[in-house]
Amino acid sequence: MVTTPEPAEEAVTIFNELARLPASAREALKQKAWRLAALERNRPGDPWVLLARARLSAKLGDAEGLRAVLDRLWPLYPAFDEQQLEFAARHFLLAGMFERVWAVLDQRQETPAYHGQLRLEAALGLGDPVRLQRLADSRADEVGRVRRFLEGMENADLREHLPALATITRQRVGEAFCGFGATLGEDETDAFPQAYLRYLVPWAFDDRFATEQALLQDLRAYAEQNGLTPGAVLEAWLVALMDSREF
Amino acid sequence: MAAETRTAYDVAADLVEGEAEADLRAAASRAYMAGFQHLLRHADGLGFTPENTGRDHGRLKGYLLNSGDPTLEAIGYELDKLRHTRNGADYHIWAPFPEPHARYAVERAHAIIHHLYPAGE
Repeated sequence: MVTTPEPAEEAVTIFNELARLPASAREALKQKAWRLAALERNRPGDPWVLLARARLSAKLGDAEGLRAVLDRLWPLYPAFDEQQLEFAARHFLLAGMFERVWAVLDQRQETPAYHGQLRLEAALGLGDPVRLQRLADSRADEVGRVRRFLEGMENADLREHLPALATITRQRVGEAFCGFGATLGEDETDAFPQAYLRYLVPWAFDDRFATEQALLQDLRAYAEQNGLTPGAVLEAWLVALMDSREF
Repeated sequence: MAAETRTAYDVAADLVEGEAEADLRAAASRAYMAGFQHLLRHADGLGFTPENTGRDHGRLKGYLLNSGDPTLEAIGYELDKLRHTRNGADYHIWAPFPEPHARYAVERAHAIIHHLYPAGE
């Protein structure tokens, strides 16, 4: 006898299957979308159904759809279980909803070391020196990279400008992205770690390259207007627009 | 012989079509070297004097980004992003290295060689 899975279990299954499906598997993704729509009619407001829909939207490069689903998921976060909380935080990060990443994690544990990597990426997305300092002062910064980044920013007189750099970046990138990642990178050639922010957008090379070049002009202009050395700003704040259609 | 005529960029462009993560990581690594070596090969035009040591990675980046020349800054910015992507490929082996990262590295090496500083073409 064939048994029908419970709707919530089926949503979890679809959520996991979506992780393995490439964006190019359009027909399979369409079937998942159809099934999720049916599940949602039966279970409106189920976190797993919404999480699966969020993952599907991100996979399809549907930034508007992703944010709409996450707006519906957002009020539910106080009742999330551990897994739902982590996946929700990850999707808020992908959508650039950086404040929400910290909010959902704080709901469970306010210590910065709790999902420190997710918090770091969100703090870099915001260019938030206060949250970065909280991370630097916590066990999340085991190797001292966040501390060295902040010291480097301080020495280059850039620390107070981090929120502006993040805002300029976000304004130039716009709302078309549905993927985001950030790291503090350094090697022996760097005086201090550098922020490297990566946005995934469904644009061809020409559009991404032109937008990055325009952002470069924006950052240079901001540096000049504020008496900063453009080279120092560019060295500290790297932004890449990658093609989400290849993901 | 093919080995003599193929450039680091050609190797990177081939590797990025591979399916294994090792291919993608190798593509990013070769792409950075393609961009870096292209700039070193035409360093005279940039006004940069190489030492021909490992220190040139940092020296060239610093020179370009702090040149005060918007064109050179743009080249330095691309090279630096390429370097970070390559570092992710070569050293952050505990973190996934997805295809867009590798493709980004290859396309940006191409941008340096053919768009931003098409010396020798």
